[in-house]
Amino acid sequence: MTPQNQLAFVIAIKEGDHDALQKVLDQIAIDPAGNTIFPFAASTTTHFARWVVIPGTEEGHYLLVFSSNFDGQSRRKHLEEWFSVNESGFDTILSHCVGYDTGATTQKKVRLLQTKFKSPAAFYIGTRGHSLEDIDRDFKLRDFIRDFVDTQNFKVGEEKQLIDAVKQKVKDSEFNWAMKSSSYPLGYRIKKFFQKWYDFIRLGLIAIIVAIGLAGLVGVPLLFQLGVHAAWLIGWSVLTIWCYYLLLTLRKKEKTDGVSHERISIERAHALGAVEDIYLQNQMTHLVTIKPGQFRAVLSRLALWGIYVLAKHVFNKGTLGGIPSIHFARWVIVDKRLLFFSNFDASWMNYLGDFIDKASLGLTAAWSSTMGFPKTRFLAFGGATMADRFKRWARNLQIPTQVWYSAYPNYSVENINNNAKIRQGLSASLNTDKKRKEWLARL
Amino acid sequence: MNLFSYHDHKDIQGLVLFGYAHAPFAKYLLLEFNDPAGTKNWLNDVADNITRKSKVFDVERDVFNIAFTYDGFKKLGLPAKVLEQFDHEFVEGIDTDHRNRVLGDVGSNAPQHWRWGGRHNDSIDGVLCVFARNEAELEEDISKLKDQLGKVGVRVIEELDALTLPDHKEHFGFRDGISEPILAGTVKHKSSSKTANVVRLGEFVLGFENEYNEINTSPILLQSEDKTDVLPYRETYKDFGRNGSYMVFRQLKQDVPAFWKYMEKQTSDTEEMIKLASKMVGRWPSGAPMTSYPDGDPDTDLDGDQLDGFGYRVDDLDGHKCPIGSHLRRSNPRDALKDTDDADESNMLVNRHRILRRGRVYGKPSSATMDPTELKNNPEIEETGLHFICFNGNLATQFEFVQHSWLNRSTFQGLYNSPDPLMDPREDKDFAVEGCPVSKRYRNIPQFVHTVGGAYFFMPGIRAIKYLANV
Repeated sequence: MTPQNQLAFVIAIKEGDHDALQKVLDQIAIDPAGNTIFPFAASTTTHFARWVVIPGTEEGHYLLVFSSNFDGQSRRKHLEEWFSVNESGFDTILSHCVGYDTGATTQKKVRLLQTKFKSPAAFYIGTRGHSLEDIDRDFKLRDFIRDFVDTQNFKVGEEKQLIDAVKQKVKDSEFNWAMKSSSYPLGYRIKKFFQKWYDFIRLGLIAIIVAIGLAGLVGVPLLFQLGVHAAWLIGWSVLTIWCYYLLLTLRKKEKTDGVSHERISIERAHALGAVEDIYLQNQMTHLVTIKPGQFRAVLSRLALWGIYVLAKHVFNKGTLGGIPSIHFARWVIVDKRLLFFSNFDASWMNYLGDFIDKASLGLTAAWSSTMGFPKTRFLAFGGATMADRFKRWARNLQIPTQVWYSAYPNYSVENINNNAKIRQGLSASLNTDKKRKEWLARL
Repeated sequence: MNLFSYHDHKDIQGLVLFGYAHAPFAKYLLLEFNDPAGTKNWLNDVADNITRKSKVFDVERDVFNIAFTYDGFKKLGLPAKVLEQFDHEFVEGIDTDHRNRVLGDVGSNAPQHWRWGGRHNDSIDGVLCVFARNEAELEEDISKLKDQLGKVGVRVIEELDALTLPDHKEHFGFRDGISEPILAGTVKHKSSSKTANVVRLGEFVLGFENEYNEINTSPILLQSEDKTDVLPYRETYKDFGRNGSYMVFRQLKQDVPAFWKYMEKQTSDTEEMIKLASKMVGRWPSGAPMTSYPDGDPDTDLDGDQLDGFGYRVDDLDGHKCPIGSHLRRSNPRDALKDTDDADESNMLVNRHRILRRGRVYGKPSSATMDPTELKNNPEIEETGLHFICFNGNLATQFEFVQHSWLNRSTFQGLYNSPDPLMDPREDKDFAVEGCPVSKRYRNIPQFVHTVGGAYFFMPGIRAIKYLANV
């Protein structure tokens, strides 16, 4: 298995160059995989990628965003790999950007872009551990097995014989690589193990501190009656007052902050729809300003960090809070704005419906501190459950993605993860009737 | 906002909530308004004669309902402020490049081949749906209406005939129109013990709470703008949309011999042939659900609960009885959505995407008894198909969602390359019949159903029609 990572850099577009750059991106968008300027398919490790122009914080200024999801861990190496395949493509595009010198050495260019990297505030992977190469050959493997099974006439109760026949067939074929089990490199597993505990302990500590603070309302008077040392009482009281102050501040803001009632204009719906549902997969780029003030800035980072930890260590089996259709999703903070990228299966309406139906708590928490978001209660409640308002809010802040690339635009998350389980089954013992039936049902 | 009031009963057009089973003969007239002033006068005159919910069981003659396209509303002078508040799917209409992809109107289904409703066809302003107990009465009622329409500059673009086949079958020979949501708060709801299929009014009629506990957006205007003061209120506003419903109308041509010939080619005898077709449909020809009667068509009269009161989760989650990819199961997955482990939650999620089907078949079948072997072998008498009509409160989350995310999505519930075996326009699709030791895969299923026309309409309440007649 191979770990995946993400890359995003944000670079200012030269004043007056917006239209010229747009023309270049339009050219690429005609055929993202194979165009002559920036053929994405030239990379054998890039799953998804996009070039997006977002407005700057000042009138008339624009920023160019590059974002990708790739096999490997190092963002620098990924960028270097891109440069080694297609430096001229970067030159054509980034010559319109501030500070990029097309005459500089490759090393210098990469170093410049490294300073423009934006780390994600939260990141989710739906097909975790499956490299581009795995995904491709697992599909071929599944087709191979399925075609073979179609020619067989085993009867009910002969599950074991059928599986043995499949294994023999695979062993004797060009697919015999699939008979070996695979796992992450040892170093990566150790790193992940420690990361997980480090993250959970931090998350737990914050939760415990807040819980102790809130419990002070009952706890402090109780300890006072028991005659506990004054220093303890004062300490706890301060924490309690602080917690309740924050909670009341949040509630007050939630009650008074403005929400958007804007309708989706026909033009917007039409423009966004024009590039949707061409493949099984769709994408979304969404940009919204975080509400002003330190309070909201810290709160939104904290909420996103919580989601990050859960997405990494809990929702790592193909669903994000019950949503089975997200390949990669990411939140990035750019100039006090929350930028969201997603690559998902099926329609926008299906995707947003899943948000509302299955993951409204997490998503409300993620966006509750952004402008115009439907009214929330205690950070994670309300908000996205207001279906119609949430959809309008989301659609109105969605921005067109100038260039979007998927290495496998018609593969679903479910198919990819199922294929991998079919492969893994070949090297597993499948020693019970139940396991055998489950594996056969995957075909 | 959870129950119809006395006024609502008198306001909602009958077809939204009833199938008019007592009137088996029908015609749909597609209309073009050439004299808006005259048309409005006519609407004003007939508004009170339009068949409404409260009168459905009283009227025997002149049973008719009317619905409008966006173009039609615009022609009749509905203010821009009201027009722009309709859902944009309705405003744009059924034929846009994006919507073609969403609905599967591509390839041979593409609107350039349509007979009506596409951007290349005459623009449609409205549809008049007329129902009668027998052919003679239908002809009489129609000629009376056409006479009136002719006088007010309304051209009938297309006259679409519909009929009712024995045992309410559709043309492939399967009993149709069985699954239907039960409306919350109605008599049927109160007398039923099952709650899984109960859906709130707002999913189908504007002005009421839907399954998200919200009231759908609806075109509203200021009180002062309703000069004749006929429209119902929505808080302090006047609501043009209340008691109205978005109506989808699609003409679907069915290739009946091809359907049965494909089944015959894949199987060894008639019994197996019918079984495979039933697996694709999800019901036996009699309408008995595969999931409750996996071994054979019981061919006895089943009651409502036996026909429609079933779920998949307890006995058939893996699809060994009713395939996961069958038309029935994907158009209404009931309690078996794989996204959740909970039957109730699945029902709740599914009920946010329901439609009320009101379509009827057209064309004489080649077999009077709808016998599969005869349908397969007899020469066709005329073109046969379905005038698919459905009502919903939100086109995007209901009709379009079902069509795109459930029916035509080739990876529905984890399947591979398997869109709806009956409806999807592709010819390289697979269909899996789940079973032991392993599922059986059918490949390269041809296209059996072809879209040949379609439009999005809005069927307003009677009061909204009166307002429209006087703007």
